Amino acid sequence: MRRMLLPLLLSLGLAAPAAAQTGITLRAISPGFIYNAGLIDLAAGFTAQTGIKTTAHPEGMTQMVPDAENGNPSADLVFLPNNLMDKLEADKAIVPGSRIAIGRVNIGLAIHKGDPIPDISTVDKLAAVLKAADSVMYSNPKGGSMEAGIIDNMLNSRPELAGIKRKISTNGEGGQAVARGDGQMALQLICEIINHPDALSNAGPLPEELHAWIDGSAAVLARSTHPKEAAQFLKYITQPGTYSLWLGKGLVRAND
Amino acid sequence: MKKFLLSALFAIGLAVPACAQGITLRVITPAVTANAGLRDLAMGFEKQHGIKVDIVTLNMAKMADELKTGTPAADVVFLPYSLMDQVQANVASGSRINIGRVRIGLAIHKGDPIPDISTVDKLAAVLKAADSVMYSNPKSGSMEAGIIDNMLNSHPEFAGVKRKISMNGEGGQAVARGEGQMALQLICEIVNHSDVLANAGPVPDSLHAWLDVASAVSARAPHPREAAQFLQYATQPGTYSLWLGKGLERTQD
Repeated sequence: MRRMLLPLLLSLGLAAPAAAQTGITLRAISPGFIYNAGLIDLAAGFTAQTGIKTTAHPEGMTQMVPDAENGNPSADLVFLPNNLMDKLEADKAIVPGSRIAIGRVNIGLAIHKGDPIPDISTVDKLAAVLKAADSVMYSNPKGGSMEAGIIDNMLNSRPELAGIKRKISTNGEGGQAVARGDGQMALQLICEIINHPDALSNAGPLPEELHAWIDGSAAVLARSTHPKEAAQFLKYITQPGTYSLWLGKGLVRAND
Repeated sequence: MKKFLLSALFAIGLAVPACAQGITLRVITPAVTANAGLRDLAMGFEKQHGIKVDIVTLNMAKMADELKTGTPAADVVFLPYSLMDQVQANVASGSRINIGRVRIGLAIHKGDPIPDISTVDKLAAVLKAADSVMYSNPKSGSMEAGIIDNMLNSHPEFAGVKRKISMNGEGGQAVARGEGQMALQLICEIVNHSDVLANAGPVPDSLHAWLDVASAVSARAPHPREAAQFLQYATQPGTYSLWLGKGLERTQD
């Protein structure tokens, strides 16, 4: 080994970055579905390799657009579901041409680790599994969670899913609640199931016809004080070799 | 988003690969690399190239024999440098790639205060104050456990540490189960229990407590071209963050 990049990431409890410090700190704001799907590790890798410190900040979905447009300190980068990014773009709040598709996180079914993996490959099979459960948890739609809204709408609009014993988590995500033993299973974004590997297993994504997913994009904000470095970060996190990282965290990269 | 590769990985409970070509690569590895990103890279490779990759995790003591005579023959091998140096005749010429370094860290219960272990004296003080310091069983053939055992034996600063060998899996896993207060453990095997463990950091550099790992295509590989393709995939520049996030510092060649 000729040389090591010795820095270890703060999040890993390791050492200080080896790349020369630039004095620049990029601020990226993101909803949980991208924050939990690889953004933290990519920010740490970018910091270690370039010396440009990059901090990722998770925010509730309802705060995202106001913070992107008016937050203080201003962010350099924003990650959003496509529909909200459309609004930012219409508001001219992002740098023209900087928007890039990141990918899709599907909603899956979280079960206790060690429980048999049920077959949820069709809507009828999923419905049978959910109906047989003592409780099917999910996050609180009233909290402004887009994911919870998608799940709530799906359960309300599909007659096959009537009769399920639903249970809203009043303390964090549905998956976290199941991990604590508050319920038998949970409908949850896959990136928020597989980040609890000691407690949860993912029974798989819901059938495609339910359209239970969130597609996300990223862009450099027009208010960014470091637009060149922000664009560099977006290039870094979408280079081909990052595919496995995103996928391993539950996000299927957009294929432009 | 113009198009999605909709299939997802078995390991994360998603769908079937998009373009299986009927080839399965057999990759033999010790736990240090299996836990430091290799599984995710295998899934990504399978999905993007349609070539299935079986990751076979073996005890360190069995690795060389498996490479030389195992059936079915492995396509790719990951090994610590010292062992890779010993099997050069059993790997394809020119195929060796140095992967990187995984350090030994200190695993503590999540939520406990993070102690300062930045010097040997500070580490020694932290370890001595603990009710128990767990680590994996050196008698199992674990190279990591051997490094830790040797470190504790050879540095007088560590005399008096209340050691406890895990008789059921890794030291970190044992701490996660509540069998001890802290554990010396490869960092890749601390950060993969993020709900229950925190990493207090690597032990100081002067202790040389790490494993450096290399990879190569087996000389007996049934699919040498695809095996080389996999190694190229797993070491392309964009994979840096994946390895690092799992606790492995990539070699900079």
